Amino acid sequence: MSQVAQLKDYQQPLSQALVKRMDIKDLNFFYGKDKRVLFDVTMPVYENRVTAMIGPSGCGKSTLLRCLNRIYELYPGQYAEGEVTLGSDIKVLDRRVDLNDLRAKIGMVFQKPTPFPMTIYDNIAFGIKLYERLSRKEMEHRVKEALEKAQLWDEVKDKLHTDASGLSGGQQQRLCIARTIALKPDVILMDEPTSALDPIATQGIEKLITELRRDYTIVIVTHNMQQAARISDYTAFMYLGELIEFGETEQVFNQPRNQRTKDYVKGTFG
Amino acid sequence: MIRKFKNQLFKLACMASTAIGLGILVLILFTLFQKGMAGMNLALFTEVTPGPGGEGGLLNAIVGSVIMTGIGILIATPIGILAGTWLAEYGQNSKTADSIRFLNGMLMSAPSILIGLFVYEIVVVTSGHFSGWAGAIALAIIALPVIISTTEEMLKLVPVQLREAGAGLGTPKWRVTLQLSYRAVGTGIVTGILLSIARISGETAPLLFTALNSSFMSVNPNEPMANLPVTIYQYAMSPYESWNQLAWSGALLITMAILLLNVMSRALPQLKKRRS
Repeated sequence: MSQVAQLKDYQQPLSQALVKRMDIKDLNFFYGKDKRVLFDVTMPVYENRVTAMIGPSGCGKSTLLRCLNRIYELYPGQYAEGEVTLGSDIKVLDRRVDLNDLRAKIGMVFQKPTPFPMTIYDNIAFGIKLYERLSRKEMEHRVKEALEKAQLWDEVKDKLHTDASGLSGGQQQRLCIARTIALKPDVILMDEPTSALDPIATQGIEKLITELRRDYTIVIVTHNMQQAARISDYTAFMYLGELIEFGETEQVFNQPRNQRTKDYVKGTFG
Repeated sequence: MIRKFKNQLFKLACMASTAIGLGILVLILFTLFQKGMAGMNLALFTEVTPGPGGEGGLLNAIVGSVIMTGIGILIATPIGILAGTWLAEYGQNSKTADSIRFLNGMLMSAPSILIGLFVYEIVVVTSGHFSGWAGAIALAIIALPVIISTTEEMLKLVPVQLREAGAGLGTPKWRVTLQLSYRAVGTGIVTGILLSIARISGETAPLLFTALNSSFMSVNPNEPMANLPVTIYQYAMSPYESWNQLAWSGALLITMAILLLNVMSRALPQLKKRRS
C-alpha cells in the first residue's frame, strides 16, 4: 500500500464516478489460422483512468492493445474474435465500423517516436485535416491547444515550421501524443511509449499521462512494473495470452489474488 | 608464416585487379577528355551537324537528345512510380506481384536493341515513318523497369512504424502512401529517376530504328530526330576528320552529362539530410 502511494505522489485524486469506456468480452486473437495468442480476454476500461497492461514478453499485452483500434488489420492473416465495445454502442470489431472514424476516436501512441517527415506544425495539422476543414486561424488554435496539452508548446513555439525530426526523443514522443490528442479522441492507447526514451524524458511522459487522464481514457502497455505502479489506476496482468488478473493497481501490486501475479510483481519471474 | 603469405597474396590479387579495372577506366576517360576537348568550342552548341567533311556543331543532336530523353522520362516516371507503388503497397507477396517483378527484371536486362526493334514494329511500321516519338517511347521502355524497381525498393524502406502511426490516426491507405511514404523516401525515388535519365541518355541501339537521325534542326517529335548517340555512332565510323572530331566531342558531352547526373543523385540525399 504505502510503496505504491509514494510512487504516485504527483497524482491528484480523481473525483469522477467510475464509468466503463470500453468493454472487452471473450476476446481471442489469431496470427493466421493456427496460432492463437489471446484466450477469452474479458476486462473493462474505465473512463478517465489509466489502465496498465503488464506481463512478460510475448504474453499478448501489445496484441490486446492492438485489437482495440484494429491496427492489426494492416497485416493480412491476423484477426480477432469476440466483442469489444466503445461507449454504449460502437462494436469495434464489427466489419461495418468505419476504421478511420474508429481510429480518430481511439488514438494510438507507439513505442518508437514516429514524427511524420514534415514540420512540427504539419505533424499536428495532418491528422486534423483528415476529419475537419478549418480556417487557418482555427487550425493554428487547434495546433497550439494540442501542443499545450502535450506540454510541448513552450519548447517548440518558436520553431513550429521546422522539421519535426530535429526534436529530441522525448519531444518527438510528446509530439506524437499531441498529434493524437488533436483529434479529440475518447481513448488513447499507448504501446510502451517510454521504452525508447531516457529516464528524464520518461518521467516527463509519465507526468503527462497522469495529467491527461483528466480528459482522456488511457490504456498503456508497459514492460516496466514500477511505471505501471506509478501511473496507472487499474492494472491487467497477462500471461501466455490469458488475462490472469485485473484490478485496481494497488490491489494487484500489494494483494494479488493470483499466485502467478504475485510471483511476477515480486520479480520472482518475468 | 604461410598464413601470412596467403593473406598478402590475396590482398595483392585484389589490389592488382582493382588497379587494372580502374586503370582501363582512367585510360578511356583520359583519351575521351583529350580528344573531346580538342573540338570543344562555341560552334558545337550553336551550329547543326555539317555535311560530309564540312564544319559544324551538334546543336540539333543535343536538342533532339534532350527532347527525346525528356519525353521518355515523362512517360516512364508516372507509370514506373505507380507500378512500383502497387508492387510495394498492394501486390506485396502475391503471385501476380512476383511474376511482375520477374518480368520487370527481364525487361531491365533485355538488350536495348531488342526494345528498339519492338518499337520499330509497333510505332514506326504502323505510322509509316521514323519519329522522335518512337525514340522517346523506346527510351521510356528502357527507363521504366529502373524506376519501377527503385520505387518499390524505396517504399519497402519506409519504416513499419510510420505506416502504423499513419493508420493509427485513421489515415486512409492512399494518403499514407502519398503524404507520408512518398515524403519519407522521395529523394530516393528522385535519385532513381536521375539514374535512369543517365542510363537512357547514352542509349544508341533503341534510337537507331526509331528516331533514326537527322542532319536538320527539328523540335518536332513527329519527324525523325537528330540525337547524340546515333550521331556519334555514324560520325565515328566515317572517314571524315571533322566528323570524327564531332563524335569525340559529342561522346565527351554525354559522359559529362551522365557524370553530372550521377553526382546529383549522390548529393541529393546528403542535401536533404543536412537540411533537416
